[in-house]
Amino acid sequence: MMGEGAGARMFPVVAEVEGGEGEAGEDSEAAPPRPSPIRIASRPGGMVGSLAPPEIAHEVRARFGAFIRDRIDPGAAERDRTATPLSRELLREAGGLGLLGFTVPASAGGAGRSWREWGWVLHEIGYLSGDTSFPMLLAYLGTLSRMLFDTGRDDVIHRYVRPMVAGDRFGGFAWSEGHDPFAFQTTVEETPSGYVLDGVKGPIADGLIADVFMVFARDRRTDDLVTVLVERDDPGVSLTPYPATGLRAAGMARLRLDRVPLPRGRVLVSADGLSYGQRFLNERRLEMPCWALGRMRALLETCVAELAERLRYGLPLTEMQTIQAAVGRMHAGVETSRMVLDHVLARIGDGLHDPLWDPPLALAKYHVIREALGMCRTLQDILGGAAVFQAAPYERAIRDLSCLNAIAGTMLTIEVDLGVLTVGDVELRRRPRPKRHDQPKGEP
Amino acid sequence: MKITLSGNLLRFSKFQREIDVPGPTVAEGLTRLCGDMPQLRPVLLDGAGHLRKVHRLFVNRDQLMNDELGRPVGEDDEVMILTAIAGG
Repeated sequence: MMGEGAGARMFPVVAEVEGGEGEAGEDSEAAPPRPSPIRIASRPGGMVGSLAPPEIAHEVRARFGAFIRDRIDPGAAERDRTATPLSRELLREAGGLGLLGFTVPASAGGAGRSWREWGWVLHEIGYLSGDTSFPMLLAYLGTLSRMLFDTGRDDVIHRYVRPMVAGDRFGGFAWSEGHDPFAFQTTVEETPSGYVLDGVKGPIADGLIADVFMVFARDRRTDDLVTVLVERDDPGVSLTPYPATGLRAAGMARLRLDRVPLPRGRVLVSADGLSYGQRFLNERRLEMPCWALGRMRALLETCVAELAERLRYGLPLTEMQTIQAAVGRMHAGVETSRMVLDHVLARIGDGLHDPLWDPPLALAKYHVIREALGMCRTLQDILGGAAVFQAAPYERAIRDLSCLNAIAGTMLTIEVDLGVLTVGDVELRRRPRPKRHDQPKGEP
Repeated sequence: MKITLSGNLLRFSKFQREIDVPGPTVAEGLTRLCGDMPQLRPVLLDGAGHLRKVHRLFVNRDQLMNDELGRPVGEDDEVMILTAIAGG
């Protein structure tokens, strides 16, 4: 992996928000606010600037733009090279800006904004941030805080949610073991004074940063999956780095639990922890494509600008039809992803989604990440060495996006689940509808 | 009623896809199923004996919510359980 070359761009070169600075003339000032982020683009080729409505895009730039440019981006290359997690200091600053509790109600210190708005904010931050781990962590930490808030337990809100929203403490989601949840090996056992926990969890996306882990373990007595909270300094807890090929500033780690004693109050969910965990993964399948699409937008714009400056046979590369086709393919990936996300975010805004496993939401992850992986291959094809050796903006982002193939359900797992549901749906539709047995006699 | 399993659930029923169980209601049919196939119990039901929320249950063509499992069914009714679970 090489360092960032002198010509490497850390920021998108076409960074204007539609209807914002530099393009104000394209939209009438008197135009009423548009209710939907889907709009007919005024740019040639149907290119739409941002997934976010203009007011959200402007808010993100006004409130968080300088922080991303001056505090997050400058250390991105070094954090990636050394697999050093984003510092607690930086994350605390993010908390101070309101980025760690965006959907948490104000009563617990959050901003109380909607999930739909949060999706757009993540998208815009994904576009602006040269460190892909940053929006990933914001999304991840935000979902954990919200899940803990939703327990409604005052002790949990006081001890964890409020400090997490402020950026003083951080949560980790300890689900993965390399097995499906029906084969989890981590166990919890009741003792006279509480519980004791044994097992190994990992990878945990922010394990090196987290202070408290939401751990899913099999109850030895009931064989059911329960959810408990484990603090980093509990006896028997140890963490080892789990450096990945991408998202290396997230602080990925493996969590080892050796006879960890837990007081009874640390049990968060005493039955059906499986369903509780699916809620986190369900939300993650949506937040991830939001910020990933921001990165895709930035890569596409940067790539096209670079190609326009390169010459072949006396002409810019962008004059070659093969390059135009490749750019068109990437554009199609970005735009169809934006349409899919817009639809799913609207569905969530209308409260129509299944909180545990929502097919359109899973499709959003599936589609956007598939397009992101396709874009990575195309970038390597048309940029050659720049996409392979030039750490920023291409090579590092390609590694980061490649990691998303596996997160919140591998793409293959999602295909299997969608296949099972589709087969079942077709089978159900082909069955005759018999009379209900609880139907009162005499009614049609 | 005839209960149909698919996907992840089949390995817990020794890959038996359709199982006939008696029971005047869906809930009692599920209890009977888990009694006949104890390995299905922790997968279908939580520690309190409730159907886990990750499963979608259909009677004939109607999806039933978890609070509707008391619905009466006859021997000709078909109950389908569909499950989608993703990893972390």
